[in-house]
Amino acid sequence: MEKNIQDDHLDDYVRKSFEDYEETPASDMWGRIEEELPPVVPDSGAGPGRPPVRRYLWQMTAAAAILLLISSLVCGRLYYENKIREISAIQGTEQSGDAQKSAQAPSPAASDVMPTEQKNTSTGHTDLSSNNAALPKRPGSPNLTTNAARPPETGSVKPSVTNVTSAITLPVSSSPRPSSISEKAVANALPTDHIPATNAVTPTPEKPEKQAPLAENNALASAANSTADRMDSLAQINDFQLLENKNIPFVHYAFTGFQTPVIPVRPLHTPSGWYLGLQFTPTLLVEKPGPEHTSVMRPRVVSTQEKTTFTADYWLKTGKVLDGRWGIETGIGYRAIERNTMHQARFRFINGRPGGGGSQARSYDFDYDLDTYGGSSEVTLRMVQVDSTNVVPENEPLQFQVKTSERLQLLRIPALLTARLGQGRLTGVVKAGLIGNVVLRNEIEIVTRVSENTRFRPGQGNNAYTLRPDKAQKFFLGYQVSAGLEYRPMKHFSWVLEPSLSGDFARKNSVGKQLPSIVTIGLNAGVNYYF
Amino acid sequence: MNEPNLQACLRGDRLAQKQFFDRFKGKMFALCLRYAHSREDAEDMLQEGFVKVFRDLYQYTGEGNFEGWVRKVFVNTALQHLQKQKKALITLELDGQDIAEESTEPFFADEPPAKNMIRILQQLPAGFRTIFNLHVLEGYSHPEIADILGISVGTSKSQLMRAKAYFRKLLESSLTS
Repeated sequence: MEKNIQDDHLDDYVRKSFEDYEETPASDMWGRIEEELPPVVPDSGAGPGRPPVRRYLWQMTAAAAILLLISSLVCGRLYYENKIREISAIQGTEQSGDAQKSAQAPSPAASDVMPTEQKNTSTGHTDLSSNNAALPKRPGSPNLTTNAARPPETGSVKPSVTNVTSAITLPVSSSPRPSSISEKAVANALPTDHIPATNAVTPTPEKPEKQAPLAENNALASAANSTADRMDSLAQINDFQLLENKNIPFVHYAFTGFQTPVIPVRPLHTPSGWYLGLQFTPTLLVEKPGPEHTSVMRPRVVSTQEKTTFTADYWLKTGKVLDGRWGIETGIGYRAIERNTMHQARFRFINGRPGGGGSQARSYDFDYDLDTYGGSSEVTLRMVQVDSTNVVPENEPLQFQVKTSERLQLLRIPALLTARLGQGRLTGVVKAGLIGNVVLRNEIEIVTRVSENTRFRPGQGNNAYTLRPDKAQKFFLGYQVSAGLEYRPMKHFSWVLEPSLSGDFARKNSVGKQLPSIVTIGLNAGVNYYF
Repeated sequence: MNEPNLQACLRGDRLAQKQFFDRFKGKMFALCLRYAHSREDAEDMLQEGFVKVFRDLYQYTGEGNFEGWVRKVFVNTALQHLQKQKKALITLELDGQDIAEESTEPFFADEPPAKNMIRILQQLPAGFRTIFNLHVLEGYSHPEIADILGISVGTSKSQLMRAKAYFRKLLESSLTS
């Protein structure tokens, strides 16, 4: 008793001491509070004060991904064009070098070609290939002429004249329009009056089917003879060389001093191992619920996912095969999740605080914390006492069911180690690694509220409930393992099909409580382009 | 002192909110100091409390004492702050452990008694301090404390007894030093 009295004295003394007692906080306190207050924004319906960068983050990310894809393709295209140009330039240099050598030779035309009598065959035709034979050939340089136009290494065997006669097929009287650079060169450099023959040498058409029949060739043999004669005058011009297109078995006369013929050559290319891929992953989401919420200051909350959710991942991936077997892969992905969850919160009536509404309609606000995949949220539910005349005991149990709908958008960045098994067009591919998840959008709303206590019903109107998401993590780590097949029907393209398993590492909210996590089972399907 | 314009505060009027802050900052900071372990903790509670008050102001419908409503928000904020630091949980399990019962803070006669007692309260373990505040200074009953803290009524009672004894010892020690 004496102790109780002492306690009462102590209580009174303490209460009176603190009555109307005030302490002055730090002078910058208002500034700190002001920083945390939401900015006053006009009601534009675009979300409460979201900065423009965050509001358009998803659109910006998609634009960046598309830009990355396009720029990769353009860069690849430019790379090949440049490569072709380089190789063609090298070939052009070789040819012009050859031409220069032939030009610098001590009048090869005069010494070798001009004495046509020496070059004439028994049939009386000029060996045109001998002119080409005079051109030096670098060992290993691309063979730009056919063997028919180039004498064998022994140099003793002369090619058949029929090559020439068959090559000059059209009647000499015809004068088709030049259709190639070399032909134009001939047409420009060789006016008909330059050739003292009765008929001008005209380039042949490129299509073999337009060749005259053999009989006609025979009829034209005399024309060929005269052509051979004209070659004497052609050979006097040192800047001419005889070329033969590999695909077009006709004779072309090119004025090398005017234009170096460029023959497009596709470079021999070995894929570098780098690839760019587009993948689509239909995914099944399986929730791993966090532990039951048993906060000392909050009621117990049990959350259960309403049904299994399907979603899809969209990937733009790039990677490199390092040594045929091992490789690395990264990229950028997008996942949108929409899931409904049912939460059961168990209160006592005393947990509620008066929510207003007048004496005729007593309402009470109940606070609790909600843990969802996106993070924690603080929820205030307003419940209205159905019969306000009834006295509700303080310990009256109240159980509310709240259904929430979450919408999350994640930007996913994988860092995977890959292993390719087997060789050939069809290979096995195993991948494993980490996935960084950046939360682009995280929204939650309460869909339904149900009271299991008949004395109370959910409040209506604007203040029926509030849901304030906690500061959620903007980044969290996950993992992915996949094993599948890659089929490579072409050198540069491959198809990929990989069953995959991915999930999140354990995450905690701002007060250290474990959040629910998700395990996903999916099937990656996509295409890769190898550079 | 001018009463703050609640409607203007609800609209987000900074001037009205500043007036509101000036009106309550002294009392609420004293409240926070009682629950906190240090002045820095109390300032964090005060900051968080005012943000919550401005955020939840629409919930006040005009019924009851407005200062009482504000005080309740600050008490809840202080409790949540302690919960985040897990101090309340830890110290409620201190049964059977030895705790120091000598004050290291002298009682300054030229200062208000409340200021001295805040220093003594801040030497109490967080669990004791919380129950002492809730029961003695906020007027909560043991069932209410038990529900708020998630403990049994018996634990609430026994912890309060120990908290009071601890507080008395520290007060006596402070007065004699």
